[in-house]
Amino acid sequence: MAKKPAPKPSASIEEHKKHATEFLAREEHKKPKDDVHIVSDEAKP
Amino acid sequence: MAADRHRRGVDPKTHHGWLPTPPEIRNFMTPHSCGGTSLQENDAAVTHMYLTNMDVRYGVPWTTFRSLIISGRGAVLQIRYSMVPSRFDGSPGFTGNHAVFVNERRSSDGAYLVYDPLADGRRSGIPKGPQWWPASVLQAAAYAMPGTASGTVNASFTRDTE
Repeated sequence: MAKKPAPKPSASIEEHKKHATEFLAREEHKKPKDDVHIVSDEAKP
Repeated sequence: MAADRHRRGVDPKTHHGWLPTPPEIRNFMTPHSCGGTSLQENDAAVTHMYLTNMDVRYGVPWTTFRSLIISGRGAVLQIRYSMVPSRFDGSPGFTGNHAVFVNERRSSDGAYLVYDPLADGRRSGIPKGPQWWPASVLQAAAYAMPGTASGTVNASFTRDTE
């Protein structure tokens, strides 16, 4: 079944909250692979 | 920033300092200084230190990321620094993987308020503090993060604080 698209920016806060909550719950089971998802390399000065 | 937002500024009264600081969080992780860290590692650290429980998600469609921010969440967002334009560049010459905290979206022009830990104003030409990044800039930098599926981003979301 196709996932319902996210509401447009102009949609109500309630619509965005509903979409956000449903997405987080639906994707709860997904486990990341740490070895390929590096947040930060060496940076600065 | 993310831990502070997640807890709505409330001190969890653990034996760690409050407010959270990047050095203390990094010192809790191994290795303490060099090398990259992942969203999952960062989340585990702040969960232990500050009793947070953020939602780490990979492969988030941009429009859904936008909805999560609009609906009242902050997010640690992975980006590729080579895509950051000079006016927001907190580390000239650095082109690698990085993460920034996105606090909110401005409805008037769709820009995002970005807290880049590299933007500390340590010398002339380096921005200091949060900056409003155009959505196109933030999106391009997040899409360019290696390991992201096409048209998606990787992020760790705070709870809804609004």
